Amino acid sequence: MGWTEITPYSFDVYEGWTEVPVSIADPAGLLTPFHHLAALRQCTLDLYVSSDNSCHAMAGVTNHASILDTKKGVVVHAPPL
Amino acid sequence: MECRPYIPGGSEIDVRFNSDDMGGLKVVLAPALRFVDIKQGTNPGIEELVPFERFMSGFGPELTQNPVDDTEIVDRFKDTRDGLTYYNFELKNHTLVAATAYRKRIFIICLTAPSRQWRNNSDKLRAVMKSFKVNALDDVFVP
Repeated sequence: MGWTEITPYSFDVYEGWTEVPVSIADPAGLLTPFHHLAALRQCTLDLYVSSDNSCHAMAGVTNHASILDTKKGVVVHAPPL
Repeated sequence: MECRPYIPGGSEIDVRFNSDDMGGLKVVLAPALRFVDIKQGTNPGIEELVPFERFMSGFGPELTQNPVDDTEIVDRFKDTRDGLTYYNFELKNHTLVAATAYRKRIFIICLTAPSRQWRNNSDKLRAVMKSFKVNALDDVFVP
């Protein structure tokens, strides 16, 4: 499956701003992407598959997942850790 | 490239921050291929993908959960950060939006605040909006 890397972006926040999860699978920046992928294992997610075959999970891009169904409610299986 | 009518396809929020005193923000990464054809090996900027005048009518509903017409926009301008063009909007309902395009994605930051927080912090929120940038200078685009 093809994928495209997200170019890093940045913005300034003031003291008192805190990151909050965007989904149940999102650790809100507390874990590394590798662990994040582990968090996605065997979860049912709302995914978008773009025409360049990149796979967009709610909280980012998975580059090792296999897609069983491209409709909403697909199951993503991450590879063994 | 031919622009097709934009149909909201669900939110693609990459990150979200909140502040009790200032409001909230989210960053949305929208794949441009969702609404426009892009020739292989090219890296079009936002002006080539979405006309400035039509950006908020297309993305506004996804960002604000409401239709956004011209009467809702109190300020709009374009600027350049690290070589990329950014669209910037301020809406009546205390929402700020900055957006650019890079590597076939639309990168959008959207800040919003309730009236009380807006009165006390609108300048700071505008500063956050203007600080948003894709780190294109550190990136080597390989078609």
